[in-house]
Amino acid sequence: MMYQYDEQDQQLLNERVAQFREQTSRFLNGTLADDAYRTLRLMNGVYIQKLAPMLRVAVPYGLLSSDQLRKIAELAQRYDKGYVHFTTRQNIQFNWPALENIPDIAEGLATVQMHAIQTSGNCIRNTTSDHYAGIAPDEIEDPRPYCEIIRRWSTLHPEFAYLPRKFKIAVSGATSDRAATQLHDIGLYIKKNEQGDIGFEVLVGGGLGRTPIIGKTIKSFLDQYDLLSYLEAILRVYNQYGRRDNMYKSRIKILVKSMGVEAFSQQVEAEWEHLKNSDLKLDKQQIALAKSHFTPPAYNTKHNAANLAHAMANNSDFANWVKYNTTEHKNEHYQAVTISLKAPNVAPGDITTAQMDFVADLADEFSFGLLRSTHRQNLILGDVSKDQLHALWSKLKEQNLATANIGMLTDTICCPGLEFCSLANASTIPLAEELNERFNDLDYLYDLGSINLNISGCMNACGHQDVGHIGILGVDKKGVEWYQITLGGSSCNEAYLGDRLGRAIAKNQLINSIEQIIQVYVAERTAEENFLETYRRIGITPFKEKVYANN
Amino acid sequence: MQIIKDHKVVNDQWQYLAEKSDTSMFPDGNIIVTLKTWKTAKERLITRQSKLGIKLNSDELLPEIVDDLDCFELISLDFTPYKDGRHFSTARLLRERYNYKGEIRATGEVLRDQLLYMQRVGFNAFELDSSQDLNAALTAFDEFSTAYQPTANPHSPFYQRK
Repeated sequence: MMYQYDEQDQQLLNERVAQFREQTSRFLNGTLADDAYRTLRLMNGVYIQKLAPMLRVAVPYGLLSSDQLRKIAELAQRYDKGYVHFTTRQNIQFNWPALENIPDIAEGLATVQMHAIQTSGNCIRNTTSDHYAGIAPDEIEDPRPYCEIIRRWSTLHPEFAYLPRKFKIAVSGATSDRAATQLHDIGLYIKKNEQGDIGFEVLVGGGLGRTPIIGKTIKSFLDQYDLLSYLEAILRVYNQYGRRDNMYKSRIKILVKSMGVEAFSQQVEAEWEHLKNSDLKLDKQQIALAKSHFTPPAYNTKHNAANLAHAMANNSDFANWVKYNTTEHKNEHYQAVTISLKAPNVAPGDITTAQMDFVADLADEFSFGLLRSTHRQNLILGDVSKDQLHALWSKLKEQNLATANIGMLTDTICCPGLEFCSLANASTIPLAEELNERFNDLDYLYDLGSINLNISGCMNACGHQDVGHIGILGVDKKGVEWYQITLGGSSCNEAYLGDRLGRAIAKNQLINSIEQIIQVYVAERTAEENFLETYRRIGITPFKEKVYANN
Repeated sequence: MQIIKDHKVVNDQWQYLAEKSDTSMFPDGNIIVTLKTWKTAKERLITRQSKLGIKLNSDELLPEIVDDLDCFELISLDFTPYKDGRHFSTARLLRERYNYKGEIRATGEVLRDQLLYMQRVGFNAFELDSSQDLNAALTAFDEFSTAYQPTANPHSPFYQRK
């Protein structure tokens, strides 16, 4: 079902909490210098933001138990303002903890096998994955056991704690990429070769931010047993040769670009020659053990299709919710249900303590006590019997969690922006709210079909604007907030970085401009086309002409 | 000066030799030379009677000295600034690939909070700045009792030891 810590996992975590508590107290009593503590706290997920510290908690590959969510709710109630934020890397952020309380929060997290280790800093971050891992019909192999193997290897790795820059790994095990795999420092696609062996296509050097780049394949098939030795070889080359003189040029993508993919991969291969038969080589037992933690739950073997069809026919709200917020499951009697954290008047990705407790109970009642977080900042109940969809929907509505807008224009990815983040140039959440007000007619949204709108408040691109079908980037011009629009981006298999529409747009014009972009699409589309397809066919010019027509 | 070596606070038995243009004469006793000095005066340095060590700055990597490892009883690896982690890889390569048995020393901006990771990749000696209480810093080695990775020390991670 999900990985359960053994005694030594727990011991390691407890020791980490004690270590951070001691470091924090040395900082607070003045015996640990500011700069050194900064580095140490970052590796424990603690940023100092505009108004308060921010604590980012890891959700390993997006998998969360109901008890873990209840603990998050309890901690948010006790030490924060009663809500938390789900991020685009499947993690959870506390926005208002007091620094002196963070060791206590970490201790609380440790009681449910959670932590904030390496959720920040120049080290290997939490490995992310497909939010439908283990349940997707198009899955080649469940990525979670491999993510778990990577989790252990990367946690407190002594050689790679002081890398040139942060390092993110994503694993996808399905034919359809739902993990933005090509936009990670290392992206791994699980493959099955002609002999039926499992392995990975390895991509390096993808990433968003100031210099967005799509990852390049350096190995088309890496045997599964070589996973860790190959990762170690990549990291070792990067640790030694990545740039450290300029933080904007220190990601692995810049190293790969400057060396060239060929030369980089040759250097990795040379390093790997020494490592492939080392203790990092995985064996059948290790992989079988990892897999044993992710066995499917005891599924029902039937459902009543007529009842579901009847309920949908009788209630169009329910029918829309089933259509847009639930997804086909490997098991024909089940659906995966997405809980939208994008209700109107709520900051995208935010969830209150009451909602968390409520969702945790729903997970217990409807989905074997497990939840998943998505990089689009929603939650998923992965294993809901088709017989129970209506009961679940009715309950979700009570807590404003049944907004049937998944994949629609208002299911925005949105970073916290100027109001919270000290890096941001411009606000984002008010824009998402304004967008929700302007596009408040769900039927109109359904007619527009799938449109990913991604918003970031600065070029660090936490809101993934470069891969939004419509991307919005906040820029600062002499203290005034402006927004740059890109079109046509995608983080799926055919990954694409959006094209810039033109000069930046003033804040008060932005939603109008989005409306104009939508108008061009509606006017130009053919019957079966979605936004991205129309854009690919007609190009940027008609959009540009419309948006900049009057100025 | 005192340093931490093999988990004990000890008096340093070595002295660093500043880079100089005249390399015709070297003092007696255990000296640690810069890479540049080593490159210009190899012959004279290996014929000395006393022990020789070398220091690599944070941007001087192992390939520079990899053919000469037998000449050094000590290799000092510089962490300036402390965030520059390149030599974490150098130390592991020395111990694990080249089976280097001499002293590997961390110098520069060495934080107490880095000692354990440094030890795990193969360092056995540590120079901390004079403001730090070396005896108190010794506790840093005991902060973790187990590890996930096979590195120089301990060699096998716990999930393989089971």
